[in-house]
Amino acid sequence: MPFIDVREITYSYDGGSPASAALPALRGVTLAVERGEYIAVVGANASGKTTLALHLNGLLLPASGSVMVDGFDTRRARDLPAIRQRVAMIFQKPEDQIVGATVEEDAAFGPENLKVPNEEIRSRVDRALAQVGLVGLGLRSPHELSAGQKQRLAIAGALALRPEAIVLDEATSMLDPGGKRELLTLLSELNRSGTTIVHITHRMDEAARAGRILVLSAGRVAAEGSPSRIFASADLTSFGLRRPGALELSARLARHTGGALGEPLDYPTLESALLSVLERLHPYARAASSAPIERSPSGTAASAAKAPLIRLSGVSHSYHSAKAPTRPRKPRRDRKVGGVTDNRAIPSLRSISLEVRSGETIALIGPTGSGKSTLLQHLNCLFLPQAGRIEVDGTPVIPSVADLPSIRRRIGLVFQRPEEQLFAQYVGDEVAYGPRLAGLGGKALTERVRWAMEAVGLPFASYKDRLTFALSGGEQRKVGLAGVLALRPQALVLDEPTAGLDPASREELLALLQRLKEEGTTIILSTHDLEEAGRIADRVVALVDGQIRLDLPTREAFARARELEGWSLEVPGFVGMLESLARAGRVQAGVPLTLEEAAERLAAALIRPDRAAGPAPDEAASAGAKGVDRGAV
Amino acid sequence: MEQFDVTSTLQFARYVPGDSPFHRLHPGAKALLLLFGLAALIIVHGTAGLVLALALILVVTLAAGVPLAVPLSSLARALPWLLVIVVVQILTVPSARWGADYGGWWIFTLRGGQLYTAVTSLLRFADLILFLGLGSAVTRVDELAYAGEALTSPFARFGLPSRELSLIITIALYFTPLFSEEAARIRKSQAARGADFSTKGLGLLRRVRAYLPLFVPLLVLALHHAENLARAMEARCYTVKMGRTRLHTYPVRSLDVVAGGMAAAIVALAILHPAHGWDQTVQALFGPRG
Amino acid sequence: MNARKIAVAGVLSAVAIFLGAPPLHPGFIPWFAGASLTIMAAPVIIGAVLEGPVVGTIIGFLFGVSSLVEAAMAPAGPTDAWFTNPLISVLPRLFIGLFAWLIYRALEKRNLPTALVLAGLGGSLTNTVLVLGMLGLYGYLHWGLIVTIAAVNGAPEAVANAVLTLAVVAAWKRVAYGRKKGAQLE
Repeated sequence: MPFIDVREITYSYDGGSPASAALPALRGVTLAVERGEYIAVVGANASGKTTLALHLNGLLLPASGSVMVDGFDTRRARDLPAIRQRVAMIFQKPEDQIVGATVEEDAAFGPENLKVPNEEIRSRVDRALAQVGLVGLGLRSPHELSAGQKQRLAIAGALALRPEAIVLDEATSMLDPGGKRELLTLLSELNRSGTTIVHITHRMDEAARAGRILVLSAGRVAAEGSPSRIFASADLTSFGLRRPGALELSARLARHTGGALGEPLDYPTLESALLSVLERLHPYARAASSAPIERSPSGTAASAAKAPLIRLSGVSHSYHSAKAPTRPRKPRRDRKVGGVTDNRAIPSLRSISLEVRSGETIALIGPTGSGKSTLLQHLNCLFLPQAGRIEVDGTPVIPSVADLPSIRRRIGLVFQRPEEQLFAQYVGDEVAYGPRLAGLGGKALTERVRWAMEAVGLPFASYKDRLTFALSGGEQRKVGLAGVLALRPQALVLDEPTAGLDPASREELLALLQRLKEEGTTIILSTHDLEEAGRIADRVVALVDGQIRLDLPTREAFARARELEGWSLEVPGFVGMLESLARAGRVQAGVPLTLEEAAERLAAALIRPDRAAGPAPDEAASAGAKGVDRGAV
Repeated sequence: MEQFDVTSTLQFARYVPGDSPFHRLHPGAKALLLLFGLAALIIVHGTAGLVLALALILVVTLAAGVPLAVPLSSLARALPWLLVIVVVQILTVPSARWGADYGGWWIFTLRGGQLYTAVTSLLRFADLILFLGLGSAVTRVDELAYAGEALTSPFARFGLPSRELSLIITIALYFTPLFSEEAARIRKSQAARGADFSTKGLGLLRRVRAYLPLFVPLLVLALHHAENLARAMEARCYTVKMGRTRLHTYPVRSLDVVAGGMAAAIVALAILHPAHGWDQTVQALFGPRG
Repeated sequence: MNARKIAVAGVLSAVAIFLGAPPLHPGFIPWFAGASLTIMAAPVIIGAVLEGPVVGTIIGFLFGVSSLVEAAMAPAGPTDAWFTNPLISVLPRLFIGLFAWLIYRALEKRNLPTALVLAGLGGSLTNTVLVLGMLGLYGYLHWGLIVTIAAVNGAPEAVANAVLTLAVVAAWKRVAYGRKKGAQLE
């Protein structure tokens, strides 16, 4: 008998108001999880995957059908503690799972609820903390942990229950790449030592680690099978998902290789497959080696004569930590940070100089904690520099004199999770807030709101009178974004806009940014994902430890993969792969910005490697300049 | 010129690490001492008791290894305000108008009784501030959370949510700095859309509406946090039934019982007020009553 | 107490503590002559309305204790000295949740928005009346002055708390309120 036995379950959430029909979230889902398996459940937003997860330990009960865990029925209330001890659950937001004053107290919460004798709790907690790599942090306050560490603490809390299975509901979506990696490694380890893992995610590269994948779409199981089988089906796009890059690439090259590449799940595999194919097809020809083709920098030609839209000169900033440490800090030696000496302060920006030219799109990259958010908040003068100067359109910004609200309207700033700023009862009023404050009224206001809402994909007529808080999370996020767009800013600054988004939403957002870019909006966005940068950014700025270490056109930045790696930043896998193929003389040297470009290069190498690999320079320039993954997933 | 920097000086519990007998008291004993001490300070109405309390607090502070500078700096910060209050009080409360007449001008008269009241009030406030400073200096954050539970656990059988209280306090202490950050972000978001939260010359409803973009998102976010947290707690087998065990136990020692007894004794002293004679002498300094 | 009640109590207490926290005192809406309308009663009221009187009382208690400690450790004005007395800072706050809940329960079936507004008014006024009442009993303030403060400060403060309670709870429960049935756009 399967350990977790889900049979034909259905479930509906109540609609937002009596008028709207109940939305069915699950429409007959069956799943059998055997002990020791590692399963991934994937699907787009609103596919029902979270709803399914919540059924696995009885947090939700099915309207019809049944869920049995180790023989226990989730509908029997008195069996729920037994069920939840066997199937532990980790959720998406790290800070919403903490209940202890110290790390070890938090991990002890589960056993305490199970009435485990006091002495045994200690040993369970110690063992759990060791399993997740948090040894020695037991007496720390949870505040001091990073997001990744908090998730590991949550897992420790689960392990302390001695569960047979752990279900993770999008537990990686709020972590940075390093945190994600750590967590996934931990999951694999736990699975190896016998814990059943059910990992809910919208990222296929994470799902690829599982032994079996379940694809949910619109509340039903759309596909089920091993990763290779699932990836092979080209239907993933229709489920709002995308294949791992290597697979996508090999699929695009299929007509040149006739399937000889197989189904590589990662770039190294693809690379060796390509090498062998290239050897076979063109055993004698060598790609014209040496000088990479000089490509004109993509993006709008900037007029150097005009003053830049925004200029930061020697800007420094330090802040006082908001979280009080639990033990008294040892006094620090005074640090001079760009002229600001403060032995209690933490420097976040050190003498930053940056120019943003009108019409440019800049990607700001850097490891977590490098100061990206702080830098972005200086760009619209939300923060005024503690040292150094900010100029907008050539005019220095002097706090007492400058018209800050007007600057902030021209340079819009979108924070992470824009849905958290909503306050108005009705959607239309929420979006109208900004322009109304700017003095817009009457028909002009309505038109502006209409434009902003349509731009983000919320039809004006049907959404303007909806209750703001009755919308789904994704819709609320769009409302937040529309609220800033409604100001028609000349420049748009976005703080990790795609963090945590499922592939379909991400594509929507990137498409929106591309449209805005074509309309002339200057865009600055911070991201962990260099593939995004490759797609829309003209320029990449790398911020490490409060200092700008790199400020180059995107292609040149990608060429510095080694340096970027040194700062825990990874260029897309195809960049490294093409570089290594170029060194082997198989592909013309040159840095691809997008998956599509990489495909074009490889296609050319497969057809006629002796020509200057790649299409004619003018073709390539226009293809590179767009920088958009046309026909993308 | 940092309008939006979040300097959250949530110096709630100014804990000063140490190993004195006071630090090592059972959290319940600390809570008892705190409560009864506060009660005593409120009940006592003569200068004798207040002066004695002051001396006692300072002595204990030193004995606990807490540098005097810590509580005294709190007092120093409060002093200007204390003086203002005291002045307002003595000028407006009629019951203090007894004793020697020191003259006056315009509508204000200065009498001995008012001075006496001023001195007493000042002493009381100073005592309260120093006492609370001492209390927070010897109590760790997790002890704070447990203290509530420790005190109310005898009443748990009557339905008082004793064990839950320490959980609630821990959660509250955890989220408070989080809200500080989130509120800052919300404020910045709205400022980025042009809000400046200046309310000059606005009527009541307009003012309140101007602040809704700040407070509504914060409270809704709080409720979301609560919902997620509740779900996580249930997933970790939390049930309503009593009988949860615990990782840390705080054993009660004889010293703690003695401390508890002393706490009760202090209140008794304050009520019985043995230093009556001393008080009357001091009062007489300020002139005759009646 | 079930998990939800505990979580709400903890989280809303955190909000109340944060709103009153020095040095910024975010929960203070500027009013005339340097005085402020404080909205720290709102989390207490909201907690009581959503989860019951016990939760409301606990939030009120923690709010009171935090104001006590904050008044002692980081006073921001002359009135902070009064709040070092728990009978003034803690005791009155225990009742905010109770009264708000009673009012809400009596009216919620008839008209939810009205129930919320009245609960907000009632809870805030409970705070005002009891705190000022204690100040009067202690002789810290002249009764005449107290009545003035209650009118000039307490009444508007009650309105502020009521508006906030309505806005937040209606949003949370996804209930519409007010005469306008949609956005104010032409």
